[in-house]
Amino acid sequence: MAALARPWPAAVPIAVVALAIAWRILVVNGVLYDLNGRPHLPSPSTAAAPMAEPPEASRLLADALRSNPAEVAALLMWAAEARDAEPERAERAYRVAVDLAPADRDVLNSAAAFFLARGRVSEAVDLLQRLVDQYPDTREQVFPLLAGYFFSAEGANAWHEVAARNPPWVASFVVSSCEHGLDPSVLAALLVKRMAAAAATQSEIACVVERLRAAGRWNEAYQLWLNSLSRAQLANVGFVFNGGFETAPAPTGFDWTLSSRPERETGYAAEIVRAPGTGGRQALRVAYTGKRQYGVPAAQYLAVPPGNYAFAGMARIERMTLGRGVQWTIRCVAEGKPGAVVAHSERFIGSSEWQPFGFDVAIPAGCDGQVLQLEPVGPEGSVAFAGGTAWFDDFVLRRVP
Amino acid sequence: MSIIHRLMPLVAPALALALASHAWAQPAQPAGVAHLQHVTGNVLVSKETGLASGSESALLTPGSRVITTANSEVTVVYDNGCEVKLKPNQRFEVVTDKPCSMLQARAESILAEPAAAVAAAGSTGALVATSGLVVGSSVAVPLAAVGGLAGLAALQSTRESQAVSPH
Repeated sequence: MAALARPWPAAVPIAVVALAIAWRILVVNGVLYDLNGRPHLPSPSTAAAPMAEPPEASRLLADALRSNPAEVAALLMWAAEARDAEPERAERAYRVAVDLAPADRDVLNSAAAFFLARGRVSEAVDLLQRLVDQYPDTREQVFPLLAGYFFSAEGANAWHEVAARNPPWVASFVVSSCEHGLDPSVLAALLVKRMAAAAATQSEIACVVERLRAAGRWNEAYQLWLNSLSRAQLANVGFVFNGGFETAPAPTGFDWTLSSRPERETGYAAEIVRAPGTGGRQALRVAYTGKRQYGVPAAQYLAVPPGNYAFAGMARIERMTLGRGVQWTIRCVAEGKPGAVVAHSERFIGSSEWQPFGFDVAIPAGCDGQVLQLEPVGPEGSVAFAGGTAWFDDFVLRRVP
Repeated sequence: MSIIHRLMPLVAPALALALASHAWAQPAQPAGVAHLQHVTGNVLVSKETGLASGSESALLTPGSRVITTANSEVTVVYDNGCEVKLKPNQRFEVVTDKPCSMLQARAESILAEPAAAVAAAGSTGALVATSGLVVGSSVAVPLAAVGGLAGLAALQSTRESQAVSPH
């Protein structure tokens, strides 16, 4: 009992002080806010009116600020009123609001808008960065503004600082800028810095490489892609990358692209699996359903210089009895689309064990980028059917004199 | 005299003939004219099947290309002592009929330097401050309007003039 009784004398003053604080909070909030938690402020229509309009609104606003100078909603309203007539006072109000509520959406938005309108871009960009950091849903609208600043001479240093800091929104900023049509060479120059710091994401790299390739800048696209490869992958890049199908393809850049659409839509299923009769090594398997063929099951973009080459590979065919068979083609790519066939393999049809195959390839001048792809045999654009299974492995493209 | 002793005089000519015919059957390999030195990071060298990693002291034949990636550097040392230093993301094609100063100038950057890219982008002055619009709490500016596209076009033409294959 004595042990229980001992804390009482100390607890009493603490409880009294706590009650006093609680009472003060209730009183202050009762004065400043209504029952729904909204501040007692002039109505928005009144507050938004010009300064020359009823002075009653301004007086009420001033009263609210006098009651609680830390009321950011009142600060923003007051700043909005003073923005045109007294910009210096408005700026002070915005700065106070930012200091009081540095992560508040309305504060950041309004203050950034004010500084942008005054031509104070770097200050606005600081606030916009906070905005996209805290509120991802604002990125779609804010990213173009940030891009316009960062990718300018004025904002270059700011971008370096952002790239070094690597906030979470940078990856989506690069992707957004890429998708919205910013010159991919500019993005590549900036992205390579992020890649060097191991900060770039696959989506960033994929978008910029794709845009460079579509723009016909194969050289830059290839170099950027090279930068995304691991040391082991760089050991033997080759003209045909991953020709042994021993690593899972990354559907970006110059690796294999396997169709991911359901086979009921395409008429085939392509995958990389352990191959029979190869001692556990992997190979490309394309299983054709016997139905009409849509699209390409497997393809790889190449950046092979003009000249003469010999393509070699291994193939195993299982009951390919329907249609005219399939073949590998190499086509020049222009404006992002496959063009004329510059070389093709034999037809794969019927059945056979693993057998070597090969064909000559002559890359003409002006054909800076190509695509190697598996296609049904037949006239261009004709309806094609295929059934059975085809296995492929050990692709190599070799320069010949 | 044993049969071995009788055949001995024929062994040397036969061996020489075999070696000569073997050498004749091999395709002529271009002689190395330079080699890699101070390899740092991932350095690639073009081979007959495409790019492969280049290691320290790897021999380079005329026509082969040396490519550096991010965070990598290398020096191409010619047999005559000429040294060509490559910085990250540069390319160099091994040629022999040029003076050393010209060889050193042939090391080219594949990707635009960020400073150059940004300068090109900013050359129009189409920055946010002049073209950005803020309406109430909603910011909306078409990217094309603020991207400095004329400057970017200049950069694009620069890049397109370097249509050299990576391999």
